[in-house]
Amino acid sequence: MGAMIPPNVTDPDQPDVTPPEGGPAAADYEVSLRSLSQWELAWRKFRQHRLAIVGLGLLFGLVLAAIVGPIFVPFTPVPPVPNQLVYTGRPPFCVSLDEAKHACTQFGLVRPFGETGGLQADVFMLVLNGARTSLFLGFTSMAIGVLIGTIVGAVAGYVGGFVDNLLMRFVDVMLSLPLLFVILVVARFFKGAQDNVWSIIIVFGLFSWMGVSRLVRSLFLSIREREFVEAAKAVGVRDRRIIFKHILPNAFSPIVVAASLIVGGNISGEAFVSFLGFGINPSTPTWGNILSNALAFIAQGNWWWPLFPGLAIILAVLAVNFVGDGLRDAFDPRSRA
Amino acid sequence: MAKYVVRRLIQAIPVIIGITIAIYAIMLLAPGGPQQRFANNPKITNEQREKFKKAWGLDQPIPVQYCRWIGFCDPDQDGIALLTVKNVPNFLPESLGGGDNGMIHGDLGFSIDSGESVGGRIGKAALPTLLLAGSALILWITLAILLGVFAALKRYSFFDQAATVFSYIGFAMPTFWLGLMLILIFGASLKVLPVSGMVDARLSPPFGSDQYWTYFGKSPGTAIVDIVRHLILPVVTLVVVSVAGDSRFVRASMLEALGQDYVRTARAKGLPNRIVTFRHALRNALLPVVTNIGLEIPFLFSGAVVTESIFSWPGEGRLFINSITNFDYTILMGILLIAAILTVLANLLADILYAVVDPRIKY
Repeated sequence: MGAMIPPNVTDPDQPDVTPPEGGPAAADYEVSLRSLSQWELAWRKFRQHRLAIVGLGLLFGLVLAAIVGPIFVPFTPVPPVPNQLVYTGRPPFCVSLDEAKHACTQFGLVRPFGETGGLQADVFMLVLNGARTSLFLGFTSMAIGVLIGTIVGAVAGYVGGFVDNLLMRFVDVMLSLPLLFVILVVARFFKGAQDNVWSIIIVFGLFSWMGVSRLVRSLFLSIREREFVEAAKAVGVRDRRIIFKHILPNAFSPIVVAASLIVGGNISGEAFVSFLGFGINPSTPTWGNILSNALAFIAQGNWWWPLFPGLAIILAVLAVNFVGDGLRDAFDPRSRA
Repeated sequence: MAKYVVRRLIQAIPVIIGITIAIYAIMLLAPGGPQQRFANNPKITNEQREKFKKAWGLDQPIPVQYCRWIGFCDPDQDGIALLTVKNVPNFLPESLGGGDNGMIHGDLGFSIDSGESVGGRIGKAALPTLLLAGSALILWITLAILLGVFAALKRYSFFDQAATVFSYIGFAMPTFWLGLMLILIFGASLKVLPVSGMVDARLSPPFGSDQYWTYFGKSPGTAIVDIVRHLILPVVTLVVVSVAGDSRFVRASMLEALGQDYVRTARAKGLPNRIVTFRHALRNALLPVVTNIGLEIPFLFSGAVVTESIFSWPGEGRLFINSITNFDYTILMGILLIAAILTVLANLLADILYAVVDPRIKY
């Protein structure tokens, strides 16, 4: 009983080692050549992808900051100060600002990312707290999208025929819709007054499954015809078991790669929607909604306000994309490390 | 070839029908609907409310409303009336006795907000968007090909590495953030470029008005320079992100073409490098690029939404954002529909173009 079915589509019997002619005795041979599992092989290749390791490290750092950061620097909304609504916000490391000259008069070790304008809030605090929501949204909506996509693709690919045709035409329709337009409309219409984080997550999940479903369907179409599925069918294994135990594990690695791309896409997608003011309310900071008022203050030269949340988005998306690249190379049976 | 085009066109029809259903469903799920605007207005009597519902056809069942919206049903009769009073199918053109309602007759309805026709509102915003998206598209394709090809020719050189770094970062960069930073640098700090609108309000009347065109007729030179100056930042915003992704794609495709046997053959025959590169490799390398660009046209729309709202560009994107804010359903439906159909057509065009430029494709 193999504990794990090799996650490799084109070549499941890869570590197929036959003892050489006149080689050592069978017992010796087994001891000296323990074949690596697919996961070990993949990890080995992944490790050699320098950018992927950088990405993984970055991602760990960001996730750690998102989990631990808000404990030390909790999000405290600043109550509006009367007659100070146009206060421009202090630049990084500035203790007091001469508003008339728009120059810092005293520097100190405070607010490394500066202050927002308007309802002055510490940008560092906002970015740290925003990391939690933005990353959570990126990964959760990806999970929803991958789940839907896998189910739709598996059904279409395994059942085939009319069902397949219907589902794939539906995917065609969804892919032809200008998705960010639709997301904007849906986000605007469906976000409740409170707890709108989940509604935005669900909206992004519902609009990020199409690529995965096409991928899973094509994988199912090819794996379905393989001998081991035929064997399982001949033994009388039920369809559900064939789908989940025999085919799906073999389709796993391409799905993981596609999933990593969705995370980055949804993080910047949420930023886009929140920036336009139709996403998550500023009472729950995200990297996007921190920026939503920045445009109004840009003429005063508040470079620090848009700079740091934007860098956070870029770093997160870069990290996820690097990891995705590494995974693709690691799972690709044609690339040898 | 003609057969292939016709077959692809026929395949596109169910997708377009599906799109109309999807857009209609999204708008149905939206809270309230048009009559919601009057729900809490004490000045409007119940009778007026009923009259409004009747006039907008909101008293009819949903399939009938949908059928009228796409123009297959006659709005002057109750229920699913596929034939007009003259017993002519409603979807035929008006000149043949058909109806004049619904999108199939080019009637997208009236704006809930202003009462103008949706077609007119969208038409007015089309020119600025075409100007912005068109110049971005041309620049985008040119730059992506140039950058990709040179990166492939000088593989692993400093230029190639720099292009790689640029494309990774550019690809991860949100469009709106780039726009903000450009405004910050070139508008707020250096003050060299205008950051909002399409024309300088101190010099000329608002773009698109009649006065503008008389002004344009009087001094076309100044007017064009003014528009171009306003175009620079939004176009750069749109182009950088698109070029970042596509130059990688061109590079990969070019590298693959350069490794092909026919390139080696051409070199072995002693052809000059320039001819091998540009005539043998490049032409083949651009084949997948054609399809890719066709598939990416929709991103130009979503990019335009945010770019237009940052730079106050008076195009479709800004109209769309304003309509979302005002719950102007009819305009939203119109823009969504046009964008979706353009997407289908762009994909179709990419497929057909691919078949045209690549003689190996069997169709």
